[in-house]
Amino acid sequence: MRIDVDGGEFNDYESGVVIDGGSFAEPADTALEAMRAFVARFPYAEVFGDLAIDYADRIPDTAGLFPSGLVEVRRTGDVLGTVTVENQYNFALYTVMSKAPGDDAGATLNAEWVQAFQEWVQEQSVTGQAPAFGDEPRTERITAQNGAIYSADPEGVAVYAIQISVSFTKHYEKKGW
Amino acid sequence: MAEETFNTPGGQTIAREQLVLYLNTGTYASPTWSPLGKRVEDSSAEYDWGESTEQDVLGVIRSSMKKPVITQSFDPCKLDSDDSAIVRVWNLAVHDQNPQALCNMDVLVGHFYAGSSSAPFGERYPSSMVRPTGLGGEGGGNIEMPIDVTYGGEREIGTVSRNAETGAVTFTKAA
Repeated sequence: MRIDVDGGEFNDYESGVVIDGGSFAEPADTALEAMRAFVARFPYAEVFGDLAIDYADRIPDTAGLFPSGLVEVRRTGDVLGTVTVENQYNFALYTVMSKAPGDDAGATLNAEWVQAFQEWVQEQSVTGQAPAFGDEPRTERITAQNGAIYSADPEGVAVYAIQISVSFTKHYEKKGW
Repeated sequence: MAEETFNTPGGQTIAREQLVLYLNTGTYASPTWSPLGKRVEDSSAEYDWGESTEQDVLGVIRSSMKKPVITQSFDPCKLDSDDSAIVRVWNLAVHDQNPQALCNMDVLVGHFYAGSSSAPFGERYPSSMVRPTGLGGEGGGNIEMPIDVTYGGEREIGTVSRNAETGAVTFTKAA
């Protein structure tokens, strides 16, 4: 979805809906929502319930998705004036799990969950089942990496962090070319 | 013939997209000008003047040039169903393997920075050679078909106009 300001109104170019000034377009398919829905598709994600955004409680079986913005990797122009931008969205997924000090069985289960999630993301991306964020879905790449324990407390709560990156391409074509 | 002037603001450089090569994907009488160069980041027309320089026994140097042979390369050209020019070239080269047709391609050079802004300068080369030099690409990438164009045929000069909404281009031959 692309939202632009035009004469005090917000125009949703994809749906053609014009929203009066004063009311904000509710993004139905933002990158954040797309990522949240994607993570929720992981077969073992239901244990966490709904993913919180920018928040993770220290209660076992909860999780939070932390977006860390857009990075413009490369910008190029072709001889017809079309500009191609290679972007990257970065997210961190924090999952809160039970892990008592010295509980090797629990720690193993948690680590296996983290590894399984990363492999699932890779498979979804390679097989083209991951959501599209740009104009060239076939060349997009989503990775989930560096999953590791982030913190653990004596009360039996551990937080695991996984870095998720989305590389995608956007084209801005010159009108009337 | 009067000299053309540039219609761009003084002191400013001119954007590359003000120089566009079009391929006629219609007919000579009713041309449809389709731009070449989508996703091509760098392409220049190379002028070969066939120059020669001689020095006589008195030490006088004389140089000569011929009309230029102009070639332009587009590399990489990625196949795209929306790119009418590429689709036409693929059909003639890959599907039909028709060298006669490829040596008689109608091309138009739009110099949108020269002449008046409403009727900028254009050159038409009705018998140009369009030569794909390959078809393929790396695994996981895109199908690419690099193209060399050698401008040819009886050159016509005139003006071009471009519809700002549709991008439709019209060439009007100078009287």
